[in-house]
Amino acid sequence: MRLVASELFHRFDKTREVLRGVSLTVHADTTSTAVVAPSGSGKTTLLAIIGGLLRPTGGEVHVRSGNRSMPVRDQVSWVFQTTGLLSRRSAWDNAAMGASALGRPRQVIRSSVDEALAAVGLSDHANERARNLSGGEAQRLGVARALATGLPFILADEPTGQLDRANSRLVADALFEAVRVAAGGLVLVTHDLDLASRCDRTLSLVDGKLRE
Amino acid sequence: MNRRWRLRSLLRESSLNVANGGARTLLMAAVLAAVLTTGGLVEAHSVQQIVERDVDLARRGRFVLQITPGSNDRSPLDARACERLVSQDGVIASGSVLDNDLAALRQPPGTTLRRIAVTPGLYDVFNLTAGNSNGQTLIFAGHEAASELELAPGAPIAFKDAQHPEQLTVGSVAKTPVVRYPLADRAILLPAIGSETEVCYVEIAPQMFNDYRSGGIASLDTLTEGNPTVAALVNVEKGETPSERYASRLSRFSGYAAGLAAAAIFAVDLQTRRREIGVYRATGTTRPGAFLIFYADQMLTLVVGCVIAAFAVGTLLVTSEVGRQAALHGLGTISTAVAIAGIGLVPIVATAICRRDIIATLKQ
Repeated sequence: MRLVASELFHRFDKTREVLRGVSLTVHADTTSTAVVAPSGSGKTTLLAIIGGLLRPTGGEVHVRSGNRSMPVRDQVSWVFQTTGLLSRRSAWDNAAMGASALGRPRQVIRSSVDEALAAVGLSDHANERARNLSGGEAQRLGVARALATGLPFILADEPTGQLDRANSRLVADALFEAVRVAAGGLVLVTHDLDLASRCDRTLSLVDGKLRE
Repeated sequence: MNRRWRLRSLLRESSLNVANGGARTLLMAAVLAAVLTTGGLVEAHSVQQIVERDVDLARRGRFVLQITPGSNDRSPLDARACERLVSQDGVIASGSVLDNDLAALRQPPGTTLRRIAVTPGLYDVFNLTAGNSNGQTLIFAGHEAASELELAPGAPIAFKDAQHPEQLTVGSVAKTPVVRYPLADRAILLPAIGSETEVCYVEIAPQMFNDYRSGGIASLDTLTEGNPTVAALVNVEKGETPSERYASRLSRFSGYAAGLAAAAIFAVDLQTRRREIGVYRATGTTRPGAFLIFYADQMLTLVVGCVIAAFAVGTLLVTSEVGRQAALHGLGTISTAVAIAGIGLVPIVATAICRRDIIATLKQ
């Protein structure tokens, strides 16, 4: 299975072109891809387009398994820079959001969420409200939410951008472990060169184009 | 099965959001309760006032004249008399003529007696007088009134004299114009009496001016000659009393007001929860799914608000006349209006927010 983005173009306000023919293929074979670039260069936009959250001005994104094409939104899960949690809900509820949205049966959700929380070391915090978690715990919860969906591709938008070194390492470990467990593919955009160096492949987004 | 499960899953999300909403849920429910309660109570209070007025009218006995409009809809009410009516709190004093009174009358050959119930109040107000002419009692009414009453000049008419209210006086319509309209100092016969129209009633009150105008019975302008001091003439033959019509209109108004207020509250709530909507969308919830979560969330909050309102004013609603009238006239309309407003307005806002907030969430 592979996630293929072909010749992506995108511009804002008809004048500001942020992507100029970006192509990217990610295989679901435990490989990870990092995209590094300075702020404002279009990393998040690229990720949103790859994840099906934003329609590109030009180009297309699809997931292929053999000759079969599948909807992108049903194959990718997200880890946000700012955790994107529902602060009033429990950690368990937040971790279950993605799986629940996919319409998984309750039993499946229960087991997958428990496993995901265990994988990121948050089993003991399952019943705590999200707003009571520390920054690192919240970020790991974001990873657990992605992991609990069981989808083959994880897109991470600066997942360690607001964390200290120790927490960054914890979150990164959780992410790579999630990809390994799911035998999926990881695409992360980051400023953190240390994190990028842990990926199998590092790409730079310069002038709207991806370079090795 | 999968779709049904997904729906249950979305509804579960809504109920969890409400249950975990804490102060937000309670605050919103309380505001909704206040909005609904205020509308309902104002409405019920107004309805009660109307009912009290009806009770008062009934106590004093109704009504005045049997009325069928003439073909040209002209009713030569005297303007000054109308002002006097208004000064008497807009209610014509009551009185009636019994059918058996008519039976006792001598009916001239070739004529048909019609019933006119002239109340003492009317008599006073309009200076209705009788006089003798060639041994006959005359009612001072001119050709125009006679024409509208379909009474030929000289036709017999029975009425009660204010000085002798215990008996009917038999008179006849004047053969010559003895009264000038509209500023005549006396005179008044409201138009047209027919045996088919058993029950009509005249109520004159300034606040019901528009009721009269839309009543389709006669033109107020012709009634007052352009002087809008008289307000209403309502035909109850339609099976609807003025107060019922007024209450119904009031009920609709307060219902719409409550519905719009509730919808506005929902819209503001959605605006403050854009980030949550974005989170749902970004974690894979479809646009209809996110809409359903938040719509169901708000409907649940509305239910909570209604429960709070019911407890808060429950005693009043159950035990008082206000509550009884509210139940009779208003609450059904309010809930309908809330539903209509909710169905109509909130989805528009929710859809717009669902559409645009995903990227914003990613960048937050």
